[in-house]
Amino acid sequence: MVEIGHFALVLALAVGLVQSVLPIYGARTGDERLMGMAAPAAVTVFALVTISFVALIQAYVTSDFSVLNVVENSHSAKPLIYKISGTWGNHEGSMLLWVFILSLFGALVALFGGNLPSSLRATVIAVQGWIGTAFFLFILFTSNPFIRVASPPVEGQDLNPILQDIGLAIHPPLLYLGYVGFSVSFAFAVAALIDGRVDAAWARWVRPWTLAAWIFLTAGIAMGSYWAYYELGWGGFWFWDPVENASFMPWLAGTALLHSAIVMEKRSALKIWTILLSIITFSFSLLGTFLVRSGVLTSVHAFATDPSRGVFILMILMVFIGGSLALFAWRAGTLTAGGLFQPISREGALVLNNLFLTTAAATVLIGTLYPLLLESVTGEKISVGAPFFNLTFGPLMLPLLLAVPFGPLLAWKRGDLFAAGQRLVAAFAVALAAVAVVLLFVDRTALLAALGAGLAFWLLAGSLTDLALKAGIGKVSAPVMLRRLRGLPGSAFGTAIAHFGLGVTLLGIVSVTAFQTENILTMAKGDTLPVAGYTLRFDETVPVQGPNYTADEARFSLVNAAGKKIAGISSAKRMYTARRMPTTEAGIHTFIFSQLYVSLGDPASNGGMVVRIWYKPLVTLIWIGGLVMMFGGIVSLADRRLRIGAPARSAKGTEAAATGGRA
Amino acid sequence: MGTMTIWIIAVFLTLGASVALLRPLLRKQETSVDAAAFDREVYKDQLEELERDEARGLISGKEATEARAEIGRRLLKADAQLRAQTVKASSTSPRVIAGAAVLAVPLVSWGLYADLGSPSAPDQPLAMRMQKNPTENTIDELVARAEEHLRKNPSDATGWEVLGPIYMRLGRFDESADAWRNLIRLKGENANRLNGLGEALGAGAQGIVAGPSLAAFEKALELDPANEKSRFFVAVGAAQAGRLDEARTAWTRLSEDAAPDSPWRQAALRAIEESRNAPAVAAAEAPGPTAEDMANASQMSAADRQSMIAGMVDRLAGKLKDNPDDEQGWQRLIRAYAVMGRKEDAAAALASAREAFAGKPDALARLDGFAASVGIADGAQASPAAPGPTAEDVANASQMSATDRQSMIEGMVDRLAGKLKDNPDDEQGWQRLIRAYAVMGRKDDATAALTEALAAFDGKPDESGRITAFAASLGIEPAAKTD
Repeated sequence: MVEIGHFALVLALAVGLVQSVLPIYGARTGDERLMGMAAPAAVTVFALVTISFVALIQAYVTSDFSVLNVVENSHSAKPLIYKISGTWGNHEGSMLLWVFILSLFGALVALFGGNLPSSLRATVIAVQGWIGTAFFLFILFTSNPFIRVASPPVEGQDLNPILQDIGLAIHPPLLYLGYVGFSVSFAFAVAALIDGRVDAAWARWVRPWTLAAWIFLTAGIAMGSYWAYYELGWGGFWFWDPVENASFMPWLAGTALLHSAIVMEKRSALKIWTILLSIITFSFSLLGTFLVRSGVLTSVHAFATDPSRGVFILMILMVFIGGSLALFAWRAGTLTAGGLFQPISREGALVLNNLFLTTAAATVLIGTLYPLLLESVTGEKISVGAPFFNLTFGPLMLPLLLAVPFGPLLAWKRGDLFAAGQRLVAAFAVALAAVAVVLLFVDRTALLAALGAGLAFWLLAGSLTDLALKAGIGKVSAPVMLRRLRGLPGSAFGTAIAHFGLGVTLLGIVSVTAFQTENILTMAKGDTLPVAGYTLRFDETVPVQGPNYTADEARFSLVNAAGKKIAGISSAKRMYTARRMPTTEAGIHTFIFSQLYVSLGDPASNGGMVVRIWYKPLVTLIWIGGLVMMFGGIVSLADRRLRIGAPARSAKGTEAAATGGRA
Repeated sequence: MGTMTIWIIAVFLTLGASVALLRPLLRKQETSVDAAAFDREVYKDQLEELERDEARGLISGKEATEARAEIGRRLLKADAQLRAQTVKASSTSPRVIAGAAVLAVPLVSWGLYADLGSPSAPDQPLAMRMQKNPTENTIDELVARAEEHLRKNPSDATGWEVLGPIYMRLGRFDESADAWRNLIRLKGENANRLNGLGEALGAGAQGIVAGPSLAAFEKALELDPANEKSRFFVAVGAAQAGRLDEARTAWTRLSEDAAPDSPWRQAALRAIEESRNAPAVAAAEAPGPTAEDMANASQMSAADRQSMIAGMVDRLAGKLKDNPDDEQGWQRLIRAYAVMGRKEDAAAALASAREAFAGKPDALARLDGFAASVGIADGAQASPAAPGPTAEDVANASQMSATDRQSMIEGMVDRLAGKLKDNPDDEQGWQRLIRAYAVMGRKDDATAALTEALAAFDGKPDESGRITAFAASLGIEPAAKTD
């Protein structure tokens, strides 16, 4: 089975070469049969990569230590779920997951692309074939997961223990679904540039694919953030770590793309900009893959001494980013510009959104790459951390968030800012009330936090206002309103829900940043600590034997004011036997939106334990907000408007098309 | 899954992929539908959507009228485009191009796979390896099976008794000590078990017999005052503690008491010799795998033993190539070669180790001391003086048949010759190969190897000079030139 997987991967490369060349040749020469090879080639590649991926998973599940990759990243005592997730918990396997998802998207374009002009479809699939071929070569020649060992050992070296977690089991697939999903918009952009024309179906296609990728990327980032929060034991939710930034940049650019694609779809405006943004978004995805996978982040030095992988990825980056930007510079002039609009209009608001989001992405890019450049040029190691991003990213987000509720209320082409403002008076009142409540009842000195909460409620109330106005509040009776609400298109709901989610996340961030409490102390058995109106009692430490680790588990009781135990919290330090690596397992108790977070430090000299205890008010809202945003995306994706028919094909194609028959 | 099955599946996969690609070509050429026709579909859909939005009151009447006019203009443009266009004539013979491309699929895939793949390597799921006939298991697998058995039956004394020496042999000293402790816990103390424990602890402490290790030997001696092994190591402990006279006395008595064919008699005599030549502390050695351990190993099939030894040593040598700073690793490698009777390799390993630690006199002294203790000196000739059973004793005791040893050595030499073919710049390798052939009495091969080596270093007088001189020292002369 292992060798079948290896062979299937090699065969996928061969078929990928055909996919890269023939369809686009057919599209340029107008040959329907060659164009027709695009779809079967994409589906075949997907089938072959699936075989290959399943073979590798099987090797992991059965602990086949004749495969080097399994030896290096698995252990027979590991629970099944982590045997499976170990497949992509390492460089080689994760690259195979990357091409697996890429080929999945290629096959989806092939299967659902019936309503696309055949030359556009062929070109798009061929461009996807180029990306796939580059990565097949990369995998087979620098990162082959199917390398065998002649005399297999009886035990593997285990997966990095901090990756042995349910969060990190599903984080990479979600993230890659996001990264690679943007390859579809990229392929569409390149195809438009090659064709020198933007089909009307272009935006109708690009928006849902971008949306799907964006949903997965949002999920991936939220999952990664929550994982870092509970697994690393520092209790933070975002570290401005280069690995996080690597996924955040495509998200920012992708969010911008999502909004500009709306303008393009509705008004045929911003065509050229949307194409450029598609290229930029996927470039960020490739860059993210490169940053995390080349090892350049761990050490510029290590990257320079063993550069084969890094140089290969760098070449992929140069060919695809440089090539597509050059193509853009060369061909963008041949595209016709679209509809016109006034600065104050829905289009104008979306342009504003794009400006801020792309600038924010550029800021993150600078903060992420500058230390790398500095280190490779001068050898000096610096880290650009939260202060830089708080000073640059924060001020960029502030006007953008203030403007969010206005956008959906403005009309296309020409909007009336004053009228929109009037309609938002209620939302503004809610925001002011939130500021007042925080200042009066929570903390009189926390002015910034109060303003932050106000901004969050401004977003929450603003998105509800949008829905209420669309339902016709104040103009029609309640039953009619309800009926109109039900008749609203999914995209209208999607917008409101996603903007609401943004407010939810912001509220969580503001609350935790301003009002969390932290205690670091030594606790012995029986010690208690008052926290958030409860009492935390340290009960005992017990040794625990896990499947592939041993742990010292500290058990705490949470006691309410009446002296009744309401919950047990256990926090542990694990030692993974194969790698001799310790991990911390934070003990977390959730009160709906707030959490009590207990993390173990080292044993103290007096026999107690150093314990860090945080009370984090409304912390879960950060991730719940992400879920709400995702849900908004899904609702929008389900919009029927995104499905269009194809003209019927017949011997006299033009005639049939003129009658408007649908397939 | 056999190799045959893999090729058959590969054939089917290739066929399937090629057919999938070819199918569109077999179809009749269709007229293409112009892209403008697709645009019309989109515009018409937009008009419908506009009507829906207007009916819901999402946009005002005026906005809707404007938008309708805009979409209408685009629709007209698409119509005009459609009328202007004639159906495109397709290019003449795409089938040739496509056919060639599809032919490339099997060529590329089979060619590349032949280079990258290992079609003859079967799957080896762990569960299957643990269940197959034990005679087919490698030593590692046998150990893993025994470990699994002991996890389920931790009070199976026989299991621990088997594992203790094997762990020792594999260099897993801590686990060996644990195994001996378990055995002692289950079956009580006796001299043999305590000796095993002491030896494992001593090896774990880089060969220093002191503390718990010495205590174990002393306890063994208490239980069995005549035990030769205990006596020998207690004396080693004394020597290492600087009580040389006491140690020498003990060794002398041991050599007198022991039977003439006892390995411990030889060992004791050599230890005395060594203690005269070198300060005792410098001779502090890690006890190598002992006669007993080898005897244990020899109860496995010849194939197991070979693969066990070769695999272990190759792994270690490979590791040291990547990570030459591992002093203990070098000591283990030298000891392993010495025990296996591969003195040349041991000497070569010592030379490499000395290279790795050049400029670190402490480490060099320790290495030399250690190597001397297992009978290896930096050079072709092994020093005869070393405490502890030497490689020869071990080989005798292990009852390894002469043919076994011979085939093992031949395998090693063949591998070396193969390596040199790929990498002919390895001067030391050539010297080793020539020496190996000379030692084995294969003079013609040695001469041939010398000729090859000289050809490899053609134009490099330094290297060829050294090799010629080296060969001459073994009685090997270059073949007479036939020109």
